[in-house]
Amino acid sequence: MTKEVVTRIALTVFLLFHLFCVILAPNSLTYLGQRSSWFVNPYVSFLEMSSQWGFFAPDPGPPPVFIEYEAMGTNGEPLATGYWPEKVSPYFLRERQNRRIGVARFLIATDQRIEKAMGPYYCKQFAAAQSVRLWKVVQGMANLHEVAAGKRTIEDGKGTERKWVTQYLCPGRS
Amino acid sequence: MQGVLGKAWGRRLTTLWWDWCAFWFYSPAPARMRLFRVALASMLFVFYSIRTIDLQLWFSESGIMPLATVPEMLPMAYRQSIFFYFTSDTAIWIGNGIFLLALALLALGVRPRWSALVAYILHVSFLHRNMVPSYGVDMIASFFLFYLCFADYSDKRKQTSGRTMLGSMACRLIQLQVCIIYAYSGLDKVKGVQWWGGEALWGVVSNVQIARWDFSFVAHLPLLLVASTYSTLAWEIYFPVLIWFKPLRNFMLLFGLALHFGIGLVVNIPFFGAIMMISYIVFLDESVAARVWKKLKLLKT
Repeated sequence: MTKEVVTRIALTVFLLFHLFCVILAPNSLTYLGQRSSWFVNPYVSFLEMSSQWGFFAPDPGPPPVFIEYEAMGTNGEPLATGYWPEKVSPYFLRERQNRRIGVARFLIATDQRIEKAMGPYYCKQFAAAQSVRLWKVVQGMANLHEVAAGKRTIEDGKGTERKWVTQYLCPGRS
Repeated sequence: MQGVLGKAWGRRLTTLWWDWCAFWFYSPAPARMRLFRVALASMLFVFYSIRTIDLQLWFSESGIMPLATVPEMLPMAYRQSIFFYFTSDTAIWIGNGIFLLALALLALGVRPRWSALVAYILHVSFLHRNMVPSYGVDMIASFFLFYLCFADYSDKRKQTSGRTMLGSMACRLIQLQVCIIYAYSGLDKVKGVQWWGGEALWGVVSNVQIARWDFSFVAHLPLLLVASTYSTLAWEIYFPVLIWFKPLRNFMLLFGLALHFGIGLVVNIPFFGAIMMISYIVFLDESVAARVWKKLKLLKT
């Protein structure tokens, strides 16, 4: 066998393996996906090729989400309040806000995530804070038919839900 | 082979093998790959320069995701990062500097395969250090940078050389990857009630957190809404098939450009549209890409 033939065969083996993994990885919950996860997962995770490719799918969403915080002082007085991400992007380069929105969407899924990420973060941000109170805010979205009928506008924010998450005690400050 | 399977089957299998080899290994695309490399690396350089402003926030121990928190939040099995071992802020800044330098060298064509490899390793290292603020562009960049590690940009090498074969394979892998992205994106949408109902684009334009402006007027244009929703759906699902038919290729690419410009106009994610549009370069005719490259070189001189 010539070097060229060997190269072709070696590359074919690699291609078949690679394509199998990257085609299967986004649909890994299928029977085939589960049976082959022992070799697909290590490969796609190590090389970071495990994306699901579900852009705006199966439905667009989620609605606008925010994490509201209130840093509390020694006597329970509020030191600072705000939202993550800020309701109106304060950045000249809007891309910075996009990543913050992505973080909010990830954290909002469970209260534990919000507590573990945002509690310690805001304690570091506000050196005088004894604790940080956290809420999750899911902004209501205007229904198409209501907007068409003139009953609502996109930006009216009706139906917004604000749920208590936790009061995180800043370690070593109480 | 022919003796065992019979002459007819042997011939078929031989033809199939040669078609496979011709498709993957003997379709060199140096001009397309040069254009793709310059466009992608330049775009990623800008994209990750912007991320640099928030480097400490995303990757430092003083940021939002200290190292100890990472495995509590995300499945980290088999995921590795240089920044699991070099955790200081200095290491993160140096790593980011080398990453941006590698992207710049890749754009300039200086040791492009090595530059792509360095950029890819650091890119994955940053992603694994904290995956939470990453999104579509970061994920697509993983694939494209990986494939650029195999790319070949020379017009002069023999077609049978290993590097040319790898280069041909890299171009095909990028093409296939774009098809995989659109196929999954389209088929996943079919599961959605809003996409079936033709109202999905309302869910995008009415989301004040991502929409660029107030698009309330769209509610009074139901035909536009439904047509845009269904045409997006149909185009994404059929792209992986129709892009391979030469008479339809330009139409598919032009529709894609219009779609991503449209998304860019409505939603504040310009870099996502940019990376997808850049990927269309690998679907151009090699002769067209060669002419464009020649003109760009004339502009430079």
